[in-house]
Amino acid sequence: MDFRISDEQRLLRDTARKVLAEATGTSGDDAWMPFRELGWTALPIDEAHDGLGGSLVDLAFLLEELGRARCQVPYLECCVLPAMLLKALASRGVAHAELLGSLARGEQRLGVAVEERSSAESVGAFSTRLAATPSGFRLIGEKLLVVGGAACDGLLVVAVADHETCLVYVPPDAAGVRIRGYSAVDGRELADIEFVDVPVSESAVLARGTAVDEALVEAQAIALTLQCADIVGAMEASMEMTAEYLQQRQQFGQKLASFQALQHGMAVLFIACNEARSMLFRALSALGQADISLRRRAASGCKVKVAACARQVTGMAVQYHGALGMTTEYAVGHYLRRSIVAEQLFGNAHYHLAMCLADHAAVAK
Amino acid sequence: MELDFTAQEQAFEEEVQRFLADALPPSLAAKEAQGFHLHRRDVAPWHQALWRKGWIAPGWPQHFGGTGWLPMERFLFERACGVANAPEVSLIALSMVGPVLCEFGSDALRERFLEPIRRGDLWFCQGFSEPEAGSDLAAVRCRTRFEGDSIVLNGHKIWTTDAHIADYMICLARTSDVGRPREGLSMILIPMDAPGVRVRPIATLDGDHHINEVFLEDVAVPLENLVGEVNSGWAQARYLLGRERTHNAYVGMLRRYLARFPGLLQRQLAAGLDARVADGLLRDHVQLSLDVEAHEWSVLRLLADEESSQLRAGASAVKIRGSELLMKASELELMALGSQVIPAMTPAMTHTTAQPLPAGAGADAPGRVTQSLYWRAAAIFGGTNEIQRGIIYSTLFHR
Ligand SMILES: Cc1cc2nc3c(=O)[nH]c(=O)nc-3n(C[C@H](O)[C@H](O)[C@H](O)COP(=O)(O)OP(=O)(O)OC[C@H]3O[C@@H](n4cnc5c(N)ncnc54)[C@H](O)[C@@H]3O)c2cc1C
Repeated sequence: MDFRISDEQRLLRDTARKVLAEATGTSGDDAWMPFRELGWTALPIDEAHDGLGGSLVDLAFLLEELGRARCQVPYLECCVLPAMLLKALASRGVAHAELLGSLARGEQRLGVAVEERSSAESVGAFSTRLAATPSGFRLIGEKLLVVGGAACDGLLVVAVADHETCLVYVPPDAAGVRIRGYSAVDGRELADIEFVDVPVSESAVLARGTAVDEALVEAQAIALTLQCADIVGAMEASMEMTAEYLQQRQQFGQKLASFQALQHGMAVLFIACNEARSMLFRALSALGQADISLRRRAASGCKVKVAACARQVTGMAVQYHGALGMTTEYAVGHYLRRSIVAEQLFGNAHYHLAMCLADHAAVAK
Repeated sequence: MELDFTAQEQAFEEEVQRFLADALPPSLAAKEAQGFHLHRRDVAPWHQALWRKGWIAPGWPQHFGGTGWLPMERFLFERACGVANAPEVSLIALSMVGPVLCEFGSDALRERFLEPIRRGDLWFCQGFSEPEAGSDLAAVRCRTRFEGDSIVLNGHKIWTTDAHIADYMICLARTSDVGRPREGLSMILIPMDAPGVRVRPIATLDGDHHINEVFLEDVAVPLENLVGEVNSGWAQARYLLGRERTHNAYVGMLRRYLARFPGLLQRQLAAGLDARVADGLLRDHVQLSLDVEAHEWSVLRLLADEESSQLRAGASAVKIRGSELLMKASELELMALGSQVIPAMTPAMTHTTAQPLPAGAGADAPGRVTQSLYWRAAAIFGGTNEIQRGIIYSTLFHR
């Protein structure tokens, strides 16, 4: 084992930290610009498709910086996740090279529409469906919580046709697509999307059957782990801010940092951050394993642990800032908001603990 | 980054597991699994087996009889031993006195002590703490007087593990009052049968006897029993702490608890435990397993020297978490056993006794409360968890 960060990774991290800090406050296309120009959109994609063939560890370092900078760009959801989905399909013989290439070049941002009103857990049990028509298909249904869904160039929609899961490409301006955008508590942009008899051509059905089911599991395990990297970055930043604040703020004629209760509190925050990072590395390691159920379980376990640590750290960070921590003007509370949203997105700790428990029970039997 | 064990490391782990399967006596493993404090004579066969294999002193330099293992291999060895219910062999002699003598001892001291320690003929106790010197170890008072070729010691040591079964004490004593308190300390080896050494047992909550008070009254030892330079005891202690960064993380012990819990739960279900209660216990178990995974990866990061600036803080972190997780793990077992853990039990009370155990207790019950209570001490010895939090703060955040 070797946990040393490579020179390229250090460069990626340092560049991202600087660039994202400078980009605070930008939005829309401006905010995406560094992602294109610095090759970050190419990072998750292999060289054959105009990508840079970055590793998951590289991506984790980048995502950490997004968390640290409280970056609102839906890079994970509109670039990395669709790229992983398409790559997983390609490895099952369903290639969509042009889509991967356009993601890599930053020409397209693809929203991934999976979640529904009553989240169906069993594979292939989505209620959004694809109905056959004489000239092709119609897409009927509703998807929720599509991150970046109101500002993307294309949608990858998971639907069911003939009891098979399928993945459908839908342009957001197609007839019958109704997008309702909204902001999350932490400011990131999401959308609920209704599909009212949206015409879909044969070629827009990107894949069908178990390939889609498996690709979804595979891509979601990666996205979940990388989401945890974002959370780890946010936690560490809020811890560092808090340590800094305790050095500055004076009460009772001395700096807060001189009070042992607070010093020990900081040590507890470090332990939580440290364990979250350890869990992240464990999941990144497990994602390299052949057995897909191991990968899924490791990602779920990672979310359980990291989310719990984030709750503790970002919450205590607010506490140690006193009333200042409660204000929107000051940054520390925004890390709490970000971790609340991140926890609920892609399934919270309770959900993923239940997943681990189900696996455990299955193994025991 | 390379986030995997190498094929070599995996092969090494399998080799260790095979050795454990061959060489660890099952009756000893069963006794150790109970959780009562084992006696020196119980552990002796295992010590012998490790010695014959050449694996008794992994932490020592190779030319003094160490194994030459890398930190990761030592970790894999300790983890496998923990899971297999192998008992700890004389920890103080092998993990402390040995490395200190290898690094600082004279040739004569090495000659006298290293081989007997390896063979298991010499057990040691560690006489650092005193009534007035606990967390503030530099406050040690134990007085010394140099008389010809001898050092004469007078002092009062307390909480001394194994003093009642040890052949020697490695004693931290005051050899100077000049300068800062920590600059006047030396490590001195004292035979426990020397005139003037008196040992008094201290009963502990867990019901076992393992710690003692030791009174030193005009105890004379040869000058050569002082380890290394005079007044360098603090530096020697620091050296040890730096080397044993992850021992107190208890990964092997935690893995042992996790591995046996599903079986325990099955037996309890078969014995009529309410299925809804079992569901809750299983949930806590899975949560704990995830906590232990994160903890274990923190240890791996330390071993691989991830980022040296955080090493000290990381070592304190895993020490704190190791003790917290052990308390959690052992308490979860108590919850699963329920009222079976109420009766006070002794090592003699096992399921092999013709008499049934009190309160309907099964074979899993004896020793569990004892060990659970003992883990409280893991948060106290080796620098309390409060002291560790202080170290984390001053390493990372102090300016
Ligand atoms: C089972 C067991 C075995 C042991 N074996 C040995 C042995 O073999 N050899 C040996 O030398 N010693 C041994 N010890 C002693 C152990 O090292 C000491 O108990 C330990 O160093 C703490 O000292 P103390 O007990 O005097 O507690 P104190 O130092 O009096 O501490 C009491 C409480 O105050 C807290 N505290 C102290 N200072 C501070 C501070 N500055 N800031 C915040 N909180 C503080 C502590 O964390 C603790 O909670 C053993 C102890 C136990 C329990």
